[in-house]
Amino acid sequence: MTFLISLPFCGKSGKWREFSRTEFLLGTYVTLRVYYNGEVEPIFKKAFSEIRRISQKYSFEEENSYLNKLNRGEITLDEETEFLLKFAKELHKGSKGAFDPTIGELKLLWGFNKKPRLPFPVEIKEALKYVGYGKLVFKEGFKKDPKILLDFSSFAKGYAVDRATEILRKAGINSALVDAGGDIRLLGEKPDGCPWRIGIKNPRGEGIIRVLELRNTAIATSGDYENFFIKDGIRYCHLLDPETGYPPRSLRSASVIAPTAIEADGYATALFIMGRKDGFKLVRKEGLRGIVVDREGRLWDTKEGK
Amino acid sequence: MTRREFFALAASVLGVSAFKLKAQGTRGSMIFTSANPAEALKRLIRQLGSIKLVPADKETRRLLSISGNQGFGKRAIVFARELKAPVETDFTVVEAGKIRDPRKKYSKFYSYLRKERKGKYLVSLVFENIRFGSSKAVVELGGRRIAEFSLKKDGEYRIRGYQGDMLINVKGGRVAVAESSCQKKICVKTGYISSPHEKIVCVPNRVVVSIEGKGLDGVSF
Repeated sequence: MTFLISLPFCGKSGKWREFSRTEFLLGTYVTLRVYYNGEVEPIFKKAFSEIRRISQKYSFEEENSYLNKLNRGEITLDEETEFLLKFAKELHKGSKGAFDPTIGELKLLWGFNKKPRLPFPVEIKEALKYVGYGKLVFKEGFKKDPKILLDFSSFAKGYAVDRATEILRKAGINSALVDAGGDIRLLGEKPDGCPWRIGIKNPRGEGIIRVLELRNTAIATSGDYENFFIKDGIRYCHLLDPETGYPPRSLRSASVIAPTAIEADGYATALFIMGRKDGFKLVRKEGLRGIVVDREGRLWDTKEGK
Repeated sequence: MTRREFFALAASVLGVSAFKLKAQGTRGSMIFTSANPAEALKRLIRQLGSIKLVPADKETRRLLSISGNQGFGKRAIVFARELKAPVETDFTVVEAGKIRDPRKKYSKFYSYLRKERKGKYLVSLVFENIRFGSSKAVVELGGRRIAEFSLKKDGEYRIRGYQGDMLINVKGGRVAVAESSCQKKICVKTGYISSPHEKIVCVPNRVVVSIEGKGLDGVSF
């Protein structure tokens, strides 16, 4: 690799090299791209081992992950999980229940992590008995009801991205992009001082629907266009409304721009489930930015005051 | 088609020799005058196929007799106004529904406009979702680069993933996974990609197909 001397295009110049590495973790790809003038190998190693740790610990698919042991009541709640539950609780409250980490049983029923199918209404009714943050009870650190299944997949990715970004920052890197399956956290700005240019994918067809210039922030998108199936002309996506038990259908995609990736990730899920009206209220209240594409293909942005 | 080519083509189709152009990201705007904008825009749709015209307001809809179409794909918001008098010093340029002072922003274009006469239309077109000029697709297996394809040439390529084969299709400057051995086929459902850093991901096969190019640093999806 050669040294690149950046042009002072946005007022900043200096010597840096671009390093990039991709691994498959958290059920998707994770790419770290850093601009740095030094030894990057030990930093990458540390950051990826942290992502791997979180990926394994909170895996819903891996039978013997910490999360599933906690779900079966075999292990006690630790400090880190308590922190994540606290985040989930707040978002659950703010979203009036649209965001719910106890969605596990319902998720298993739809089978989106293996072979998805449309469940019978009676099955959904049964599964919903075991969904609801209010039903979550811990006794001496053990979870009481093993039928209520915690599933952190709607924000564990964001959390891992934040932890990795923190490792990069502490190592002295001040320009980096961490991307876990489209959930992106931006550390600082580009080495030439320009903002990062991040596109939001068109939820139908190809292309980019918006280009945002961002600095030191995070963006995540929840959509119905990746993990879905179509039955009798109706599209069923992997994001489920804990109230109805069915995938919400008012939006095609929901993006949130927030200071941290865990917030962006969690709020994007909440926004997708709540729909534009209620979701934008929540996003605005938290001082975040939301961009959605509704089912007619119209784009709405909280920043454009619609 | 790159942004530059797109605008050049649009200008030639519209039959306008002088126009003001502004491009940013996948958006770009064009302001021009025309004696018969409805005819010119119809030609544009015929030539560029997938473009959907969205009138900015009722008046434009009435003037051009085009209906609103809110879909994505290549989309253009159009705003037209009839010039009621010969262009004099104090007229306005309307860009995407907003009034601009042409003397400040478009001095060259302004002097061109001054020659325009009553009865012509001032049309502002804002294109959305124009592709970036990307020329290369990269295939990574387990984080390691295993292949590169030019997007300038159509073709089909077979690659071997962790679990089985995948068929990659390059067509018209875009790339897609046409077939895959995986179960959920998320990679196939992703469809075509064409913007820098857009990705097709197949987790079971540990394969990432992405586009190399300038203009974007990442894509959220």
